[in-house]
Parts: sequence; structure tokens; C-alpha cells
Amino acid sequence: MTERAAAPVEVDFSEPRRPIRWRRWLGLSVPLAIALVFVLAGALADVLAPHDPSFVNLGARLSPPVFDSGTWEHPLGTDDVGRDILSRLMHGARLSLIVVGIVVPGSALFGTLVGMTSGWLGGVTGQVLMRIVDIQLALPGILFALLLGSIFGPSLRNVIVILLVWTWSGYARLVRAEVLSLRERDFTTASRALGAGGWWIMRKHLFPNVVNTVVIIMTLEVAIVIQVEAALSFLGVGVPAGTASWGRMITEGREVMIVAWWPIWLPGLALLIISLTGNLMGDWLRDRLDPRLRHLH
Amino acid sequence: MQFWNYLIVRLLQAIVVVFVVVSIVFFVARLVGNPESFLLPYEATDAEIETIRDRLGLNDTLIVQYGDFLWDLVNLDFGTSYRGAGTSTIAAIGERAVNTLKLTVAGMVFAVGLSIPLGITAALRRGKVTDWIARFLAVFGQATPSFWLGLMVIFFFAVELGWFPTGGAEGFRSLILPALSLGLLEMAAIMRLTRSGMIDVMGSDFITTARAKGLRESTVVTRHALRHALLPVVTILGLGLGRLIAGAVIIEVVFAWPGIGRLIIDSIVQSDYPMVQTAIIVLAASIALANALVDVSYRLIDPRIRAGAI
Repeated sequence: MTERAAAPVEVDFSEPRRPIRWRRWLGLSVPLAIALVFVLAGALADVLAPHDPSFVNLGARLSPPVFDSGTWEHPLGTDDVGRDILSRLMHGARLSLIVVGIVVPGSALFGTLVGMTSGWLGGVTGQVLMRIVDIQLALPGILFALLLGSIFGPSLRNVIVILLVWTWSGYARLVRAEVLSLRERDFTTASRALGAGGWWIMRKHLFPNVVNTVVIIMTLEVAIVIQVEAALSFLGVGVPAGTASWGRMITEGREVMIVAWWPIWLPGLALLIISLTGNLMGDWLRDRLDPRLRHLH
Repeated sequence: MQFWNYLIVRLLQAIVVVFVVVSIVFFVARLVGNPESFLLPYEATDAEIETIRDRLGLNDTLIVQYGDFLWDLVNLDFGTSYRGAGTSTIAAIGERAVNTLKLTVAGMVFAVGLSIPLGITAALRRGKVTDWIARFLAVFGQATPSFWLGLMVIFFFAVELGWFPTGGAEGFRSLILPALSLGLLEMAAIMRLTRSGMIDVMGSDFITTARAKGLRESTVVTRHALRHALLPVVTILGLGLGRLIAGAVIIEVVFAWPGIGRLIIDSIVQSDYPMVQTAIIVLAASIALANALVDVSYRLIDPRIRAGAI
């Protein structure tokens, strides 16, 4: 009996060694690395860009990229008037950064405020605010953009105004939906019973509960904002002609699409890659913070 | 009767939306410069300018102009174009509307026709090849700028291969490339929604019950699961229709497609206010109506909402 009892039972209490999850690891680190490159290239465009992005050099027009029989003088080749494409891409990234940096926090702030107020107040105010959101959804932003663009002429300021007006309603809708359910919950009622005012409850109880949603939309919004800026510039109502913007580069590349692939492919690929990156990071964040929002994208 | 009440309330809401859109369009459009300069030769005298400003009502106060404008709209008088010898704007838009409608519907048909079967197959064969293809399409479909995609498909399928025309609206073949470029984004969104909806539903108890009753798997999927999984898809279709109409503006420019979107852009360049106004009002009204109808049909489809409402 004793021997049996003494027989050591080997129980391994240590965590089973988890295999490295390559896919998950790559799924986060690759987008992060690309985002970092994008931000650095944009922020340091003045220092890092090998050429002046608007320097016209007709002698070197349409030189191919270095991996397609080109030279290191223009690593990604030149466009139809001999401007260096790498430098233009970097300055285009900077432009996108500026637009994203203003539009995304701005519309998130405004949309969250509207969503919280309308969800909290409910009643007529809430209804009116939500109808404003409906109107936002009913008037395609692109039409509004064309209208504004034609009145004030193409400019960066236009693009920013249009995008601000265009994107806040998405935050407002989702935040309002969350607040509507939050305000019926016990902790809100309890807080109110203790004499808390509306502003206090919004700050202390509602905002912490909607902040995840807001961060997720902000991340997913980055790609949309960059793409819309490009689309508006492509249509001629975005940034003025001559500005180094990915959308304008695509317009210009379109003219020589038949004879040279790089002037249209490279900015298009840049747009595609940065959109993929933004979406992947948004998806990752959403799965982490709030899987209920899966329908967002 | 509650259903009819709901229908009426929802339509009234749509009308309010249209009214506000109309007002925004009016006041924003009035910020543009002098439309009379496009109607007169450069050497026009001041008297001639005054006459034409009077005729167009541009000398009235803004409020009077606004009132006239609303009154005309109520009487379905959308005004005449500043270009082309007084053509009625609504008639010009009517001609183009067919093309925009064609493009939008084709984009939607492409999106729905491909996304729902693909989404279902991907959900039923999770982790298999179809699923991978579907997810790949979804990820790239949502990240590719439609105008760039449009230019690329023109280059490959129209210029290099010569299978399709490079632009214009001449017959069915010219519709394929624009519809594909327009519908891809929507296809990706609907596909993702169908797939995740199906995955959720297939794991639920009533599916197990249906199987336990001995129903065939095909019946379980089509009669039980699909009905459930497609509910959120119906909601996204309404919003999707709006997105497609908006997206059509860019696609029409890329493919030289003679629709309302191109008309708006041309008219803006020419400061043809009445045309721009009418076109935007028509588009916004269609979108508001589409959204209202989708909300209403959602009530008809979802038994839970219907039971609560009627």
C-alpha cells in the first residue's frame, strides 16, 4: 500500500508550451512595421526624399524604376515630366498624414459628442440629432465634395472640411446606440440616484464604455480618409494640381498608362498597401477590444 | 395597422431628409459666382446683365429665391438648365438616370450575386480553399481604391486584351468592367457579413434541432440558417445602394459612362446650378427612399420585429 501511495504522480502543472502563433504574430507586426515606415517616410519627407518632389526634369522623363532597368538616381523612376516618384510618394504620404491627423481625431471628437448627447438626452433632441445623421447618410459625401470643390476651388482645406463633415456621423450612430443601452444599466441609474449630473455620468460612466468603439472606428477610418482624399484629388476637387498627392499621381499616371506602368502602379500600390494596413490593424484591435463590432468592416 | 403607421412615419422622415438636403443644396450652390456671365457674351452691357439677372430671379433676396425654389419643387418644376437653350433639367437627368440606374443595379447584382453564395460556401467550408479565396477577396476588395481598380481593369481587359470597350455605354459589354469596379467594395462587405452571419447561425441550437429532426443538410441551410443569416445583409443593402450611387460618380468619370454623376461634374464645371441642384436632389431622394423601403421591408422579413410591431 505504502509503495503505491508513495509512487510519485507526475503532474505537469506548468503551462503547456504554446507554439509560436506565426500568423497572429505576422498579422500584427507586419502592419505595424508598414505603418511605421509610412509615418516616418511622411514625417521626414523633407529630409529623406532624394529629390525635390516638384522638380521637373524633362531630360529624365519616364525613367524606369531601378528594378526595371532603371538607375539608383531615381530608385522608383520618374513621371511624365521627370519628377522623382519616390520623393513624390513620400511627400504624398506626408499629405495623407496631415489629412488623417486632422480629420480622424476631429471627427471622432465631434461624432462622439453628438452620439453621447443624443443617446443620453433622448427625446426630441436625440431624434433631431439622429435625423441630422440620416441626412448625412442620404447626401453622398462625394456630391457635397464636388459642390464645395467647385465653389472654393481645389485645396487641402476643402479636403479636410469635406472629410470632417463626411465622417463624424459614423461615430455618432454607433456611440448613440451604445449609450442608449448603457443609460438603462444599473450603474448609471445608481450614479443618478446618488445625485450625479448628466455631464458627470457621461464622463465617468458612459465615455469609458464607448471609448473602445471609438478607437476601433478611428483605426478603420484611417484607410477610408486616405482613400477619399486620393479619390477627390483624382476627380480634381481635392488638392491643387502639382501637389504631390497619391490621387493626383494616379491622375497623371493615367495619361501615360499605356507606355509606362510605374507612374500609375506605384501610387496605386501605395494606396492599396496603406489601406490594407489600416484595415488589418483595425480588425486586430476590434477582435481584441470588442468582437461585437465585427459587422463594422 | 401599426405596420401602415410605421410605413407612413418612415416615408415622412424620408421627406424631411429630402427637404433638408434640398435646403443645403440651395444655400451651398448660391455661394458660387455669377451664373449670368455664362449666359452672356463678354461684351454684354450692364443693362443686359441686369435683365438676365432679373429673369433668373438673382436680384431677389435670398429668402425670396429660396421660397420660389421650394414652391417650384413642390410643383415638380425643377427649372431649366443654363446651358443648351433652356433644356429642362429634370428631362436631361431623366435621360442620364437610366444609365446610372443600370450601372448601380449591375454593380449591386454583381455584388450580391457573387457575395452571398461565396459567403455561404466559405462559412460552410471554413478553412478550406473557398474560404481562403473568399477572405482574400474580402480583404483586397475593401482595400483597393475603386478608381484605381477601374483604371487597371481598363488597361488589362480593354487595352491589352481588347475584350471590352475602354469606356462609354454601348451595349452590355461596356457595362461589365464599370459594374465590376463599382461592385467590388460592396461585394467584399456583403460577403464578410454573410460569412460571419452563417458561422454564428450554424452553431446555434435551433440548427441542431433542425438536424436532429432528420432534415436534410440542404434544407437546414436554406430554410433555417440562411433566413437568419441574411437579415443583417438586408440592412446593409439599403446603405449599400446609397454607397453604390455615390461610388458611381467616380466610376462614371473613369469609364466615361454617361450617367448623372458625370452630368453633375460637367455641370459644376459650367456653373450650371439648376442642373447640379436637380441632380443632387434626385440622387439624395432616391437614396432616402431606398433607405426607408429597406427599413420597412426589414420589418416584413424579421418575424420578431413584426410580432412586436403588429
